[in-house]
Amino acid sequence: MQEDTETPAKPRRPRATGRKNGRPTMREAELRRLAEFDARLVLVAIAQDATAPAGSRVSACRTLLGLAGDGQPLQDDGLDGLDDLSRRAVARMRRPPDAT
Amino acid sequence: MLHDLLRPPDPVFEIPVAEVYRGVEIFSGQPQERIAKAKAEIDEVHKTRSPKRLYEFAVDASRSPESRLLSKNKAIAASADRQRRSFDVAVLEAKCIGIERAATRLARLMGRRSAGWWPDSWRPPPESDHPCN
Repeated sequence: MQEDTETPAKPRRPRATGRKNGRPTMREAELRRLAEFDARLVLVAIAQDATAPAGSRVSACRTLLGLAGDGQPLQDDGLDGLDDLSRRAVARMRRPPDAT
Repeated sequence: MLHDLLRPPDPVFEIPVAEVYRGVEIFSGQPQERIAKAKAEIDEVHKTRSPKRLYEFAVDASRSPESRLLSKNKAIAASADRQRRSFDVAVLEAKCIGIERAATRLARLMGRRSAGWWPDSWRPPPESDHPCN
């Protein structure tokens, strides 16, 4: 007869990932870094950097001007597939009535 | 002249926006079938390039006001590129009066007289809700 002997659970050996225990994995670190990334702050830093090339500063300013106040892109009205004439017509519609 | 100065200005009646479709503001207070018809007509206007056809579309009162407004502005923008205009801009403006989202009651009345129908979205608020009361 065999005795019902249960061997105690052997603790698993940590995987050889090259990182210390408690450290986040590369995937977790990447996700955390992306969550903290703010593209608007990067653009502001480039625009304010006096040592940066003028072209890059102008591009950053143009991109910032294309963003709404809350950092979201301007409202997409579905103008992507429109030709120049339709775009001009839409721009004309949005002008205030007293504008000449 | 003094009487005209003392008379209060005609209040502007503005229709709320339900959504923006391809750059055109869709008026709220309409059933979904009516909005779908307006969207289809807006697509039709976006495909049209002839100023004459755009003019005929804009003066057609059976079309939705949103698409007529787009057609009117597109016809004027298209005619600006050409030396010879195929329609009179003043006539076009006069035939499209009252279809804007924000217009006076007089303009709405004139637009209704031109269109011959009175959609619910054009109906002004009752007098009790008017801010002057």
